[in-house]
Amino acid sequence: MQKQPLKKVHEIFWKLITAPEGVEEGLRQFPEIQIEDWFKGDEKLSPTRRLNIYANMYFWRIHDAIKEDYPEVFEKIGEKNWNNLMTDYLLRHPSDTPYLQYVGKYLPIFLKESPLSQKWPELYDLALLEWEKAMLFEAKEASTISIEDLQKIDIAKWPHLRFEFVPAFKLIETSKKDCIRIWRKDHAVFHKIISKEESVALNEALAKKPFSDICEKIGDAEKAARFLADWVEGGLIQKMLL
Amino acid sequence: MGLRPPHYSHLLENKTQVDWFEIISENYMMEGGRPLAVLDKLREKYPIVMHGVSLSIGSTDKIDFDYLKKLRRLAERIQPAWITDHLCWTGFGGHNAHDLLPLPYTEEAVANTVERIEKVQDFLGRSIGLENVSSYIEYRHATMPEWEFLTEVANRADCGILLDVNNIYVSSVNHRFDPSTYIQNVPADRVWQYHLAGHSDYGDYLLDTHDHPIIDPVWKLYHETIRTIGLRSTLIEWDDHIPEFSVLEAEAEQARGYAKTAA
Ligand SMILES: [Fe+2]
Repeated sequence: MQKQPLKKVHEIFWKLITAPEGVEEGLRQFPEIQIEDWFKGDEKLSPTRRLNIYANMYFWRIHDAIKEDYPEVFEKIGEKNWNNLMTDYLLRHPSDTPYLQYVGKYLPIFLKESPLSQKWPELYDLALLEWEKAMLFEAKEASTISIEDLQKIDIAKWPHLRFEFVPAFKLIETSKKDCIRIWRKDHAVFHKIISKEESVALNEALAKKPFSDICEKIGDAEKAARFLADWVEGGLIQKMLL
Repeated sequence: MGLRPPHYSHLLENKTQVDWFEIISENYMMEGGRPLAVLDKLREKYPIVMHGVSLSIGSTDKIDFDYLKKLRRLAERIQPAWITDHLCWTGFGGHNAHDLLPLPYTEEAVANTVERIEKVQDFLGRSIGLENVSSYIEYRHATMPEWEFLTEVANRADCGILLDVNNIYVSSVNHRFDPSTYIQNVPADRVWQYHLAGHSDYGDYLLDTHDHPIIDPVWKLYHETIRTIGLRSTLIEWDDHIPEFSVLEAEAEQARGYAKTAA
């Protein structure tokens, strides 16, 4: 009998259970091996059928996990498209993480190039938003400042104020150049499409520019103060720096 | 009992009969969020055991030390009674199947697994426990039965065993061996914990699905196990179609009943 080194055993097993058309098709990659020399079967279940149990579990477990992160994408394209999408996706992006919940991280980018986006041009934006929201659920906790904390600051010092945002906050840009801010408060995640002005102000603040720069950039100090109050109330800011 | 998200609110608001909880480590290895916050709260009231699915201890890939760092950080945070994973491999070439794949029961696989367990135990600064998995295929070139493989690995790596009684039953049907032989040949002093679970019967084979109540033959095998090996902390696994908490408590009560008659 030929020798079956462990690494080769793993390679063959892996390639057979991840073959997109099933184990039998996967076997064509290994013309040199006789499956019965490697795996046992019996009259009830051949080695191929036994390996197909693993192939099915591989596909469906990941399929279901990614579906959980993208319920709206799934809803939009329907089950049949989704199943085909998952087959193609796993071929291009087999899981490179020990965490099942991150296997779908490349889906937004993958959708951008998918023919499905010709029929549904909004797919990339939808997927990106769903992914970023899922990620915020598990971002690091941080304490936040309140409106009262802000009001305690001497008005003369306001121009020098800089801000540190909480980890559970993200600003994303859609393919149509809309800006969306996503944040988590009390373990719930929210999102809001914001105005061009607010996104300019936010980007300044995120770059740790002082409040005077933010006002100058949008040319309206009162509006800048309103944005700031909104961010504080949403629990976006963990610290003020002077 | 296994800690699962559908029961979070119930557990935070109610007193339970549960002695301790087992968590799936990978579901809590993030920076923050509700699962971790709930875990911190429950840890104040209950002992916790960490049970992972991605260690891939029998793999031929490089050991993933980034994963181990996160695992160690979680252990430092919640101070688990013990840490377990599975005696299996989960991926190849840097890719992950997110499934518990069976190892060939050979001397080469024993040596490879033992070497990796030693490295992991060194890194974590503690012994780990490994669980026998359900399997659907066996290798032609295997040179020993599964129980011998498990025993060899545990003795040589000096690690613990998490004995899953349902997995023994499922594999014994799928590969036609006598589950009693398995139980009689496991080193009792290495067994830290038991798992019980339900499975699905597909006619030609049994599939370990954790979405059904425990069947009678598995209860019987559990009874035999605790008479042969002794009483150990026992966990009932539900991962799909998770029922209300009271249903799980009733199953746990049944396990306690068996323990009393075996004592
Ligand atoms: Fe188990």
